Amino acid sequence: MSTQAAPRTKPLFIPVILGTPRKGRYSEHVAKFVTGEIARYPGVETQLVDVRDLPMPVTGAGEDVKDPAFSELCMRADAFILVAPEYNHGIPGLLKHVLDTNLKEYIHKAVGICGVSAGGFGGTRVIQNMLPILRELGLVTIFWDGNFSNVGSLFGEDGKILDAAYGRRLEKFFKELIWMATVLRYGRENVTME
Amino acid sequence: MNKDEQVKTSASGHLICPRCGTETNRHAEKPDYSADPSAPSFDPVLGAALMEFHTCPGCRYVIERGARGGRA
Repeated sequence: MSTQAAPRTKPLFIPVILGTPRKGRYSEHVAKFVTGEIARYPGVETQLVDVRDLPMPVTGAGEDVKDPAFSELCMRADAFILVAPEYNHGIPGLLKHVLDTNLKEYIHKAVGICGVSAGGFGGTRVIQNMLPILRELGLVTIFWDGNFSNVGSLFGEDGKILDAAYGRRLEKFFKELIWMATVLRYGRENVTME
Repeated sequence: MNKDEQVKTSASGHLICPRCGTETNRHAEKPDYSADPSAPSFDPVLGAALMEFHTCPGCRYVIERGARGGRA
């Protein structure tokens, strides 16, 4: 059986969301690295979104406090990459708050998670904790994750990654995310639920 | 980006994108359990209002609105 790539007349837009506002965050290095890597793929546009920069009141609830610019970005997106450090095995509070401000902007779009941790488990626990949240938001998760372990020593002072193997490991993650984003965009635009 | 937008419908029954005029595609539904039971889209069988989501292939805008005929 032969296969062929689905035609894509419009580039995929896959923003990378840096999910922590904390000072001294190593996740910023991860997010910049991931953004640079996904930008290499033909037919993919990306943008780094820093939750620290979003005007997000913490006293509101969900969609009541959505930021119009962020919502427009999410609506334009075909998929998302979330860079999530693991804080006490859980999701950063502000990332959850930011995600909760939208709904229709996410539905039937792909999402991949890059977990970040100080220890050797690469954020696997925060990734597992995020899966039911992302499902309830209508996002579609992929098999592959990005796992960034021992992040305190993973980057040089210039912010460059010191272990070149991470680029190779992320290839599978990116390829599945792009496949899922392509399929889901076709579905959103052409496959009708009646 | 309002919920329950009032938009035009094409002859083929698709909602028309309010931004670019392209026919949208209905691809998702979700129950809204916080909805008022008197809402037109409230379905007593589900115990929720049924929300529909329609994506525009032209500009990627998404329309969210209560399902028509949701009340049993």
